[in-house]
Amino acid sequence: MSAEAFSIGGVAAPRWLSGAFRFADGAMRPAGFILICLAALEILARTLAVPEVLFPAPSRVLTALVSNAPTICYHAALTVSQVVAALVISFAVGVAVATIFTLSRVINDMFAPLFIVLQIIPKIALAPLFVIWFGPGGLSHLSFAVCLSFFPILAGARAGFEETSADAVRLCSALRASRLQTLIHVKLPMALPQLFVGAKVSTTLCIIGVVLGEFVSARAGIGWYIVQAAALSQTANILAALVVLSLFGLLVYGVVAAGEIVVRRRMFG
Amino acid sequence: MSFIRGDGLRKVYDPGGKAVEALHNVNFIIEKGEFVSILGPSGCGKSTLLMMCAGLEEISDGLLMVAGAPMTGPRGDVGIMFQDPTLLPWKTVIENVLFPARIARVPIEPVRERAHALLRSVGLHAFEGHRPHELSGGMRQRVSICRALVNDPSILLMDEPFSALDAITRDQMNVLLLDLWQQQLARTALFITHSIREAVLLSDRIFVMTRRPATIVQNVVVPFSRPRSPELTEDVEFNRLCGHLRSMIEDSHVG
Ligand SMILES: Nc1ncnc2c1ncn2[C@@H]1O[C@H](COP(=O)(O)OP(=O)(O)OP(=O)(O)O)[C@@H](O)[C@H]1O
Ligand SMILES: [Mg+2]
Repeated sequence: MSAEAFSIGGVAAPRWLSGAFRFADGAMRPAGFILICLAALEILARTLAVPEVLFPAPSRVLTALVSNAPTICYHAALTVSQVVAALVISFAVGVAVATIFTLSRVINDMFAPLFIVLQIIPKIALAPLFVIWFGPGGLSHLSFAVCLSFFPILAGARAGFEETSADAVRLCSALRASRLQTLIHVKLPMALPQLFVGAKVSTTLCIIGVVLGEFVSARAGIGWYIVQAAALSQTANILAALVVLSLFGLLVYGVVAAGEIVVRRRMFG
Repeated sequence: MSFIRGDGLRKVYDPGGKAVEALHNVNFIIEKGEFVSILGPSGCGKSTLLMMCAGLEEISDGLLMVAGAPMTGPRGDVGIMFQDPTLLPWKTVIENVLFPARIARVPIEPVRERAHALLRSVGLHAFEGHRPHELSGGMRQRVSICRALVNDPSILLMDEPFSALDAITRDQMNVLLLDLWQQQLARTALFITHSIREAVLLSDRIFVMTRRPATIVQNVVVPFSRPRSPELTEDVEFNRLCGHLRSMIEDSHVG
């Protein structure tokens, strides 16, 4: 598929449509590959007659998915809404901390190394601690996910702030712009692409954070659903839940990625 | 009365304990309304001196007086141009020009009038709504001139503003700057360049600097009357002065 896909009957297609074509073109190969893998797994599962608890055939997962769709979607929606909330909060926290760091040298020198050290701690091990602090409900999942995922955004913001051309900053100083003005007028917009790069990493971390929180303690959500299904050895249900969660996760990631493209096009040409 | 006056200016950079003396005993006077160029070898400290005049570079020793007061920090009423136009890519041309007014938080409408006039005089009034990436390098640098002049700065500081442009565009920019100057849209100016012809065409006086630790060794008065036209560059006297300056700079390189 090439250029002819973008013009229909000699009429140039609108830009979004050509974008959609390009996306479809890009999605074709991975989708085909996945289908081939699924077919192979199906054949494998049937010919070897593996017990379903160990390795359900893809068709079994599909049946489980269809018959449990309302339940799974309910729990997945709950999880994903927490993921989105966690991502928004992470964004705010990451940008706020990076802002404070750029505005105050002293605070930066005091705390920036600390944040790097905090990154080395395996934060996943902290999940039970958050349950103790915030109770078994959504608040602990949310705060744990934010704790796990704000760092890439903080790092992206700091990288973006530093990337701002020295001359642009000099211009601001010569005009006697305050640090806050320089930040708002120049550094923050300059950092947006980097912020989105960070946000893409954060998205996956948010999903891990929320699901893990739900593993540890919850009364609903896809993590909780998986734990329940595992207790009953419903392997097909677990995989069905994973499929739905992946699709939702892909959607969130797609929205962030699309946001990055829009920002790059709109702001930086 | 002198407008900018440097007395025994010295600058020592100290990166990691290794002191680098960039400027050593720099003395000069710039009168109000003068266009002064600085010529000198690469790395001698021209940018350093310019940044001192913007209030952006600490002075290690000596005294810099601007408009009768010692320079202690940015004055806010300077216009600055760099080799790179440093336009903000997400802002339109007119918004880029208005940027200094936004920073100064002054009422925007009167400034907008001046911005329109400046853009018209550099031939960009049809591009006010365009964004920088839609313009050529020369057009971007013209926007940058307008931005430097929009708040009617008392000093215009330019650090090799045309060095990144091709020769033809550069000549056009010289003519344009000459025009703006002669329409009195700009006032006192300090201009760094590596092009002797550019310096002679534009300036009232030229400072020649030595290698590091640099000082001003020559103060050359450019005798041509204003208004000047670009044809001046074909004049015999013009070329004689250029040759004189060239040999002077070569001497200072050796010394
Ligand atoms: N921030 C800094 N820290 C340390 N040394 C510096 C710094 N800025 C400049 N220098 C040194 O000071 C000297 C003068 O630098 P400057 O940029 O003023 O030269 P210049 O005359 O503008 O050179 P060019 O013509 O190449 O632009 C150089 O040797 C440079 O290495
Ligand atoms: Mg320089």
